[in-house]
Amino acid sequence: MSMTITSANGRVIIRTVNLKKLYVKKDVVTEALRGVDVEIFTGEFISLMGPSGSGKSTFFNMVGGLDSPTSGRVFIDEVDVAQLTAVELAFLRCRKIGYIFQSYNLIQYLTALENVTTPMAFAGVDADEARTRGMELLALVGLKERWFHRPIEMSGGQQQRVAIARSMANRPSLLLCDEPTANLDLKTGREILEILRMLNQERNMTILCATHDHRMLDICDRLIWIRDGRIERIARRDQVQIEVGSIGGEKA
Amino acid sequence: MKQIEIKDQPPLGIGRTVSLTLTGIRYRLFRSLVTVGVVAVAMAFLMNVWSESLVRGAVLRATTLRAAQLHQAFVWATKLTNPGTPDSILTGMAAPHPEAVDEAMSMAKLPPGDRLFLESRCRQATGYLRFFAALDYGARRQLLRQAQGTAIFDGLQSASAQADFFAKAKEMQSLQLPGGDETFQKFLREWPGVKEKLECIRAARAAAIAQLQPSLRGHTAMETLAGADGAFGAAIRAAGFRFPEDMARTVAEQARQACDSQWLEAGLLRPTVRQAVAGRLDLTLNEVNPLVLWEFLKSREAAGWYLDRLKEANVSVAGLTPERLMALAHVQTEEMMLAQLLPLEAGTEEGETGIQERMLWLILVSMVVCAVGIANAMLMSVTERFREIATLKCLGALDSTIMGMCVIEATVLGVTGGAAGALAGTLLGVGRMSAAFGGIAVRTLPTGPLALAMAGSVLVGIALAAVAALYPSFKAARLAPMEAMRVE
Repeated sequence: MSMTITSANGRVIIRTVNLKKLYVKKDVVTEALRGVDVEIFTGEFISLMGPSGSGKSTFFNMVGGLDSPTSGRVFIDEVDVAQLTAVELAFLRCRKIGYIFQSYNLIQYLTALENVTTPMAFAGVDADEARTRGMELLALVGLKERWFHRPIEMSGGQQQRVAIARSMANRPSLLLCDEPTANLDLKTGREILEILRMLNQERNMTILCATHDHRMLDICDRLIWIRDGRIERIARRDQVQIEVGSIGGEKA
Repeated sequence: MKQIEIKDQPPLGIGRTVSLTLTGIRYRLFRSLVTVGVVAVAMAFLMNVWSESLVRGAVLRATTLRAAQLHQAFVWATKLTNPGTPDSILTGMAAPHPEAVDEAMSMAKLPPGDRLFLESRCRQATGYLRFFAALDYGARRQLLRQAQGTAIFDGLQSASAQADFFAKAKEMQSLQLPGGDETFQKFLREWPGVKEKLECIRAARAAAIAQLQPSLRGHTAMETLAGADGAFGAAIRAAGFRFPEDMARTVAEQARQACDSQWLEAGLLRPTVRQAVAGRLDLTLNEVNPLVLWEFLKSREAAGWYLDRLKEANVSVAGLTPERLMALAHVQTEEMMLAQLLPLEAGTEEGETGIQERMLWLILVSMVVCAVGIANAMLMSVTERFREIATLKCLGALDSTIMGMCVIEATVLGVTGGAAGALAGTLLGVGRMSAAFGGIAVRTLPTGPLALAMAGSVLVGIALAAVAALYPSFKAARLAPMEAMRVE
């Protein structure tokens, strides 16, 4: 169904084929995903919407290479993630995907700069270069002056900006954001969205963003609704804006 | 944008892993200190047990040596009046004192060629006697009936007794004669020859004692030994005993001390003296005993006062000065202290393995406590941080890097805790032993073994920490990175 909707500038970067995931705990079987087929193109900004328990997070984990599907496949740039060894998965997570979490997940005992350079250390970048690149990234998110601060000394918005800089550390092809603005107030949330839009437009980053935030509608290219482990609807932004009323109804 | 190429992720360099870990430890200083505390307490316990047993061992060795030196006069007094029994001679020959064997060989005029044979058979014999003594009562009674000591070998000379013995020995499944049955049979065949030589030595000793009899001139051996550094010493040597000059001087001095002490203690038997001492010390008459007396005589003033009381009671005190009394008092109190320590030593002798086993057991328990403590602390630290660990995995950390971080952390904590605990345990152990044994513990402090034990226990601490961290670090490394994705 997604084949009909194509993006202007891209080839496929994420493709899922009949993706299914069962969680079995004792005798209780939970079907988190019941067959998801999606194609996402390079340079796209996708909003992933759905109520809690809809399978949104499960979908996220599959795409991010953080969990393996029960059946079906996930291709990232035509590489089958399920075929990768643990060491190759680490490589994928380190260089190809940037993660942004709702609760920032910065390493508490490292400074802003050290947090940003940690993925570079894992990638084997030498310390001097990592430092230069880290400072550039902090400048990009507007925190150049605060590079020596620890997370505990920063506000939520600042921490999330450090997290964005960190996710960009190894020039990934894909940013996965899990409710990036959920813990932030309106104003700082808007700043974060602004940075994400800037990365999408100026750096041509592909961004997949799970969210409940209405403002995401203004900046994303496409929206994907997930409900009960299935894709409920996929739509381009211009299509959605016409039907804003019904969106509001769905989100409630 | 270029196509994704997937390669193997390189591991994080050791230097960077260490610095990342150290930064973490510094940040969680309090919790790390608690872990260090757990390790330190366990290592302190280990080191305390260890150092106390080392100090105790050193004290006992020193005590035994000192006691043996102090009792030379008594040993010689016995030796010059009693030729001994085949059993005591056998024990003397088997002991590692070449001079005693020399003396026996030359006194009994045995050919030097017999020496090796005699020594080896005597050692073999004491080995068998020790083996039989260690048997439980029922088994011994069945095998040997009532026989004790060398009489056992005498009783087994007849062919029928031997056949009976080996038949019974065979029935006792767990019984294993040292060296096997054939060796014992061979030994039994040689025993009459050995016994003949032992009797020969005994007879020679009896003759030597008889030769000395005129020199005693009706005095006791101890009184005569007071002159052992003079003519009597020469007489002893002439009789064939090995009695070198320096030994003679020691024995003479000790004999004089023993005689004087006897005199002084005998003074207490005079009612007037006893009453005076009781009055002076504010004790009842019954409470006045040599122990109290020697403690009292340690001061010059008290010694002088006691001599005056003896003079008043018409006890001959010729040649005794207050200084002499004080010196005697010190020797006597030391001897009494040694007498109190010696039962300890008897304990080691009797149950040598008993004490060792108990110590090993204590050490083992403390190690288990230590390992569990560290494992628990590490498990807590891992559980507490699993969001951090999962995040690191999202950022590209390998399982091995996470494990490495955990093991490095445990090792750092193990080194710190081990060193602190070893030091504290040693100080505590040495302090306790000094309090118990006084100056003798400090004088005989086994610094070398203690330092080795400390180094050992630090190593043990590191090893334990590393082993105890294995499971938690394995758990941490296997943690799914999606844990980090989960909303709080």
